[in-house]
Amino acid sequence: MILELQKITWFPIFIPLAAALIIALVSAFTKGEGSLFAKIFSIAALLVSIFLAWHNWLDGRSQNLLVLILAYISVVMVIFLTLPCGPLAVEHYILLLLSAFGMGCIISSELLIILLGIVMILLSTSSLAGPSGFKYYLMSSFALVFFLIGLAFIFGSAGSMNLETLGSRLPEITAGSGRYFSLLGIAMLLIGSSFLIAVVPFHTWVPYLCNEESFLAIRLVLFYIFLKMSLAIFQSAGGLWIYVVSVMAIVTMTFANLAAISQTNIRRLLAYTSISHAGYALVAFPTIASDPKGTFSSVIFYLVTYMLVMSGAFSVVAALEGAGGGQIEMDNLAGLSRRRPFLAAVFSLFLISFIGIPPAMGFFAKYYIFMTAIKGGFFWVVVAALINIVLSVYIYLRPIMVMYFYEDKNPSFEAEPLHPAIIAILTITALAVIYFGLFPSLLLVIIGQGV
Amino acid sequence: MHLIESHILTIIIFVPILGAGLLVAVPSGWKIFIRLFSFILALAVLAAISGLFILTNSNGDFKFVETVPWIPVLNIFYRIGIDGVSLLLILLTALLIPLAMLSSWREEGADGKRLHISILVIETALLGLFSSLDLFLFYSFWGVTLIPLYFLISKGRDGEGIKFFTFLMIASVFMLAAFLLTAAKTGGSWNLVEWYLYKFDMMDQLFLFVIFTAAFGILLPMIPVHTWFVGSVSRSSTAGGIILAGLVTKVGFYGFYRLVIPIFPMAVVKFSPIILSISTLCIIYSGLIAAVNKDIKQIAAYISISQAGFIFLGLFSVHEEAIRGSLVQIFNHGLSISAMILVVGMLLERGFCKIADNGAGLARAFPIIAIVSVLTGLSLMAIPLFNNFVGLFLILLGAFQTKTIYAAVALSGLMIQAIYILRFLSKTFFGKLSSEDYLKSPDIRMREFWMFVPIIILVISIGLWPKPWLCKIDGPADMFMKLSKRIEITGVK
Repeated sequence: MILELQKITWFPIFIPLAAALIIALVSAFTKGEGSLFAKIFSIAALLVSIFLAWHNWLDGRSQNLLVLILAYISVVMVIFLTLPCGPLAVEHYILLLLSAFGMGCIISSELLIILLGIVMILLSTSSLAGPSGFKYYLMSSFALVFFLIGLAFIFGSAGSMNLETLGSRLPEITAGSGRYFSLLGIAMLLIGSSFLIAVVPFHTWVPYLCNEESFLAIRLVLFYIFLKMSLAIFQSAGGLWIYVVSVMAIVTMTFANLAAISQTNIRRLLAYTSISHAGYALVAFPTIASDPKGTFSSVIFYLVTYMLVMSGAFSVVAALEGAGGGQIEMDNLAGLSRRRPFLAAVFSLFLISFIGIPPAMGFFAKYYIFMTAIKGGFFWVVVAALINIVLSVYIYLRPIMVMYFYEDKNPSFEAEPLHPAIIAILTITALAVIYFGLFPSLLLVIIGQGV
Repeated sequence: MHLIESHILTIIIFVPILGAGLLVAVPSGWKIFIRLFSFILALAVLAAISGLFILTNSNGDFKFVETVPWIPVLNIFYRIGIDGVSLLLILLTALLIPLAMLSSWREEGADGKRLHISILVIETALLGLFSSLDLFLFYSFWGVTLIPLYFLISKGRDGEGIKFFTFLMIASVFMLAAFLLTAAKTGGSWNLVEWYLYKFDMMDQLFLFVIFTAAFGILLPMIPVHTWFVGSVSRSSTAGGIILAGLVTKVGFYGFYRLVIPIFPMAVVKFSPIILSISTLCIIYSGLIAAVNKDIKQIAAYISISQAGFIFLGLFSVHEEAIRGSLVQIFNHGLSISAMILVVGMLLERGFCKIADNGAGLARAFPIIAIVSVLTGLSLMAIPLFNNFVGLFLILLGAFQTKTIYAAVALSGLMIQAIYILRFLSKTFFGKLSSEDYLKSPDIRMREFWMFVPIIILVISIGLWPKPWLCKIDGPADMFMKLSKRIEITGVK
């Protein structure tokens, strides 16, 4: 029975939905008490669905599933990290699982189902995020309107909403008589999805949402959707698309880096980092028409790196917040190398990886993106990215400087021992960042197998 | 045994970083252990490399070559090997690293641990860099040096360290851009030998030459972009100064020797008037600054830039004698400038940081330091029987035959260097003792004395009998000339 069910690609993503419903049902009977149950149950459900997705991946080697697994791992990890904080409200886990269900829709190639998934993610995340979630909700509904109009135009011109069909039909249509009609649709879709991946100037929601646990998973999934849509739809706009996406990449990187320079709150700093790294990943997008396989591999490698390093950095911040209470400002880092040498060292490694200095994984990821772009002939986009690397030196070295060279302001502050779960996660992440930085072959092979 | 023999170079390269990994686990309270352990490790590496140096006879081919697939999907290999010049440079690295450790023997606590870990990591990275034959590997090793260098440069709570680091980062970004473009041009190959064989067309050569020159020129440093160097040498500890002036500048020279000139000879012909003008400007302009500056650390930094100009002149005059002179001079420059920085470090430790107008008379307080400093000064002035004479003589001999005007202008640099060295020595050591406080400080310590012994022995032995050193670089210099001339002829066509 189970074995048969595994064959169904959709099975893994329905597990979070079922789990959410069960938790809702149970909490209705226990009057909202069983939050520890909810926590354990949601971790278990996600682990099962990761396992099934992995099983399916072994059969089909689809990159969709790879990204899905990554996103789910990230969600499990953040639930895991809330262990020291004590259990949260039951609804929290229900919403988290619902957004995990929404993430599952990326394995589809029907645009409508993808849209449903996006809406699911947006709704559950904005309810999770409280007051700032409301802003996010308003902004995202505005973007979704563009998305929907674009979808309607595309359907009108190509008569399909399937990404694969669109990929084969659209190039003819954009070259033919329906050119302006379909280009309008593509433009609308592009505006809508630029919001989803937080391209400047549609990036304002990121700093609001960066406190959420599922933040990274959402960023990953939405970016992957953008990648799929670029391959199927956007690239058929030809030279126009190349021009637009290059500008998007350059503006996003530069603006996010400039904005990050003045940040003193570490979470906000990481939020802007997240935006600028979306920009770096976009550097490879102009080549998507000429070299789809290379672009896919390099962008997915970049996304994996981004997930790993980002979640590591956020875990450090979470650990510090758990220990010190409240938001972490730059000044709180002073003297961290003496108070908490482990956290300081690991955080420095992640920051170095953000700059892209060997042997951290960030270097190879950037190298791969740049090499893809240069082979496709987009040297000037790479030049912009390289200038941005120099810009980003100050952003990421400043925390290191504060941690290692500044004197501790309140030396009496006693450091509590870290929770073993945090130490374990950080150690694994740091080792992975160095290992894949030195020996990326294995990861490249895994990514390269998918289609 | 066979395993060790066939992987000897790899083992030597990675021993220091393994030691650094071990030190991470050691509590920073074990000061003596940390110092002794890293020092002994560095000495062991020095012993091994000296062994290689003595036993290897070089004919321009790469020795100890190892090739292991690293990221085969992207055509990247772990490919190392050394010729005579690499050998000279890894010998210099292995020699200066223990000296840098000795010079900072007194750094305390966590700083001491961080310092030693940084130095060991830099040692591995530089040894690897000088022996890599795959440019991806080269860049990776270069990248590894960056963060430890940042830790060496920055001290205290200000953004200064980041300012200087930004220059290094600009250099590495240029380097990355240059490597990426070249690799894309050659069809995704990172193999040095394939880059030598590939025929770049004129436009590519000019464009890549400019990017490469920007990358390695910042490291040298060339004149318009030298401020970071002066700033970081004058701010960092003695160890940092030795590594920056003695070793990081050599990465720049090595880049020109190994990559820029042999790969883009047509561009070299086009650009050599500009480059040679800059190099003579370096010699004269920073020489003059060194002759009027008062801060002794800045003087050391400007001396380094000024003397680097000669090496540049030699490399770009593309003449056999000049090339050989430059290659020897790269080694000499590392030795002499490190000695100078050690002298400056000792004086700073004893409370002397600005030279006085009518002489500080330190010779009375520190007679042995004065003797050592005079020996260092003689070496830097290129007096016959000292090492720099050999190098500069060959450089000027060669340069006069191909680039007469530039060589003639550079000749005035010899006079300027006599001025700045003599001024430094006389204003520091001679005259009336300016303050009785200096008498309380000790003269040269045992540790400091032993830092100078190897340098001075080498300085004089190279000066007296340069043949064994020149022998090592004959083969590589011939190879270099072949590569550079080969395309020079096609360039004329």
